[in-house]
Parts: sequence; C-alpha cells; structure tokens
Amino acid sequence: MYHSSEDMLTNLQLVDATFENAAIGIAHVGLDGSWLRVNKRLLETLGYEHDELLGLTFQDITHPDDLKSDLDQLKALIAGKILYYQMEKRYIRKDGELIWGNLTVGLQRDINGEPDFCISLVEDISKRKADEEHLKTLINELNHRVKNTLATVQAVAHMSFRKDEPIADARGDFTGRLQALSSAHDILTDEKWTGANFREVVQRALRPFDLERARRVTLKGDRVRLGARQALTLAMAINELTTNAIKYGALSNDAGTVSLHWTKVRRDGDTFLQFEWAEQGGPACIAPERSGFGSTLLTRILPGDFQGETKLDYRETGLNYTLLAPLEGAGDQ
Amino acid sequence: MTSKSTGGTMNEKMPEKILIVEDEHMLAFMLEDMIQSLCNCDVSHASTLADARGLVDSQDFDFAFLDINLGKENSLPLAKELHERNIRFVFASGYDSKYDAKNITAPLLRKPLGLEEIRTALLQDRPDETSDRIGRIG
Repeated sequence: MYHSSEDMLTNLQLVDATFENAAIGIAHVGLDGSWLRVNKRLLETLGYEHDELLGLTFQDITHPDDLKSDLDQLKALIAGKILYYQMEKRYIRKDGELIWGNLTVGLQRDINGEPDFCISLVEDISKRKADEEHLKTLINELNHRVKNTLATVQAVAHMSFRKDEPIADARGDFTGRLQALSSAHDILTDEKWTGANFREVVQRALRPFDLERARRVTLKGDRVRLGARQALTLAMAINELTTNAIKYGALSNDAGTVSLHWTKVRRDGDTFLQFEWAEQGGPACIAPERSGFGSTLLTRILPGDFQGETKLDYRETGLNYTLLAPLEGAGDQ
Repeated sequence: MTSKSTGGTMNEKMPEKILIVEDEHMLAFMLEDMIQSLCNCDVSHASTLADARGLVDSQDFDFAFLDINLGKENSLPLAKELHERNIRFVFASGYDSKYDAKNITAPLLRKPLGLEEIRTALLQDRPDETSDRIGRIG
C-alpha cells in the first residue's frame, strides 16, 4: 500500500525516492546555472560522475549553438515573464559525444517569493533526433530520384515524339517505354536502389509481352549485378528489342525465337559482361532507313551507360545485338 | 563522340564548339539534339571528369554544359578549370545542390531543361539576369 501505512516512507522520503529513481533526468539548478542536485538518470545521460557534474554549470556542457536560446529563456523565467520553458537542445557528454535532450525548466521560489532555483527535467531524445535526420535524408533522396526520373521521362518523350513519327504510334511507343522504366523501378525499389540482377531486369521488362510462357524467348545467364542507371537502360533496351521483334523480327511470325544469353568473361585480368540478343527463324531483317529511338538507345545510350561496346547486326537470319562491358564497379553506381 | 548538325539556323552569337558533361547518356543525347536544333555547332559529350579533361585539353571549346552530379564525382573541379581557360559554361542540375562552388559563379539551369532556356544560356553572357528560372550557384 502506498502512503497509508505509518511503516511506509515518509513524505520527504517519497519525494527523495521519486527524484532519485525517476526514469528521466531531473536536476535542481542554481540561478547561475550550477548543478545543485542531480539524479542517476541524468548522470547516465550526460556520462558524468556525481561530484564531477556538481563542479560544472549547464552552460559548460551545452552545445554553443543552443546556449543563447537556453539563457534567454532562463532570464525570462527568473524575471517572471514566463512560468516555465521547454526546448530541444544538444548536450556535450563527458566523452565528447553530442546528445539531444528535451529540456523542461520550472522555477522554485523561496519563502519571500524570490526565485531560488530551477527544477529541470532532461529527457534523452537522441534516438528520435537520429530518426528525424534519417527521414530527412530519405526525403532528399526521394526528391533526387523523382527529379532524375522526370529528366529521364523528358528525354524519352523528346526522342519518342519526333516530327517524322505518326502521333498515334509515338504515343504507344512512349507508353511502352514508360512501362519498361517502371518495371526497372519496381526491382530497384525492392532492392532499396542498391542495384538489380540482370535476369530480373530482363524478365520484368519482358513480362508485358507474355512471351516466356510461349517458349518463344529463352533466357540463359550468369548472376550479374547491375547499377541502378544500367538497370533502367537495360529494361528500356529489352523493351525496344522485343517490340521490334514482334513488329518486324523473329516474333512477327509463328515460328521465330529469340535467345538472350549473358555471361561473365575474363579478359586481361578484368571481368566483362557479355550479352547477346539473337533472333532466329524470323523474316530476313533489313536495317531501317533512319535511326529511331530504339537504335539510338541500343547503339549510343546503352553502351554509354555500361561504358562498353555494342553491335547491332541486321543479319539475314535475324537481328543480332551484342554488348561487351566491364563489370568492375557496375554494381555501385 | 562528336557529331555535326546538318540543320539549324546560324547565329553569330551562338557558340561553335560545345561540350556536354553529363553522366546519363540519354540526357546527354537529348541535350545534344536540342542544342543542334538551335545552332549549327559541334557538340561533344563526356560522362566523366577524366573524359571531359581529355577533351578540353585537346580541343577548343567555347561553351560547356556541366551536369553537377556525375555519379561518384561532381563537375565543380572542371568548372574551375574552364573558368581559368575562359570557357563560358552553365551548370545543370535536377535539384538544389549543396555543393560548394567556391569562388565560381555560373548560371544554373534546372532539369528538365527547356529549349528556350538552352537558347538563352547559349546566347547570353549573363543569362541569369534575363530569366528567373536561371539562378546562380555558389
């Protein structure tokens, strides 16, 4: 039972126990800022021994950028302009580490009504502050990604809607390209934007065409890790190649097939990615008269983003596209 | 990569040899295409600082577009070198950058880039005074 039995603690002992054992830092602080009485939790929070802290003032262990605000409010409290104040501030622990505290300060007056000392509560909010920082970082990163994506979409639109392209065709192509970008985004999001696996990027980019099930397209390859930019570009390249194969190439009839093959190869001590898109069984293929988005992407943009070399070969037996690119550092872009 | 445009109108104030420093090749290609729709000029592209320095050392550029963030590096050291060589340039970025541009001031174009902003940047010595979408960095 609490304070009904005479065997239990006296009122004064109860107050002492509350002060000492509260799970939040509590202190009596002199009007000049010196620590008069502190509890265990505060000592733990600030990393000081009892006698060390009592030899200091709160000014000594307050981050310089937070000191003025604290002192201004203390002055207003002593002057009776405010009844209490609360602020989030940084303390410098004995070991030099900065911690965030949520400080609440009230005033104790003496028998004559004159300010006597302050009653300060200090709650360690370092974890919440770290979480807030992390959230801020995430929001900034999100902003960067959205802005990058908008710039990419602008480029895709710029290259899709050309003077010599019928608008209805361009619109369809543009939508397909956005879907390819979106498919790569899904994978990158799952992977927290650390990169993506080659196979997954290819599979996701092929999914809208529903070709794997029909055994028209076969995939075979090593486990290869791609950077974010490379994953986005590869997804769009697969979309261009597949769309082209359906319109004009091996997938335009009932018998043609496409095989995708990627391997890691060693050359002169370095690891390279070798990728081949090979069409077979389709109509004889002829190079287009002008270079559109697809061939620009395949022969200029993709080799650039992979820092490698590509070859787009319009063979009698079917379109053949190859990439040879260094793999070192590919995963950390 | 260097290519010469066949179309476009000639303008005496337009630069003749332009360097694009941009690590995303799709954006570089688009910018090149947009520039060539505006002027009859040589456009070269570099995606890393090292490539860009190689080009600047071997060719005479009179204008450069610098994407600020180049993956693991940024283009500010190159800006300093262009400044010392008296080559006019603008920065391009998709977001408010927190890079320290030191004593270098140059116009900052925001991505997505508009054709008119590119034209203004190419034509004007001080494009930041003619368009409120162009600010300064530094």
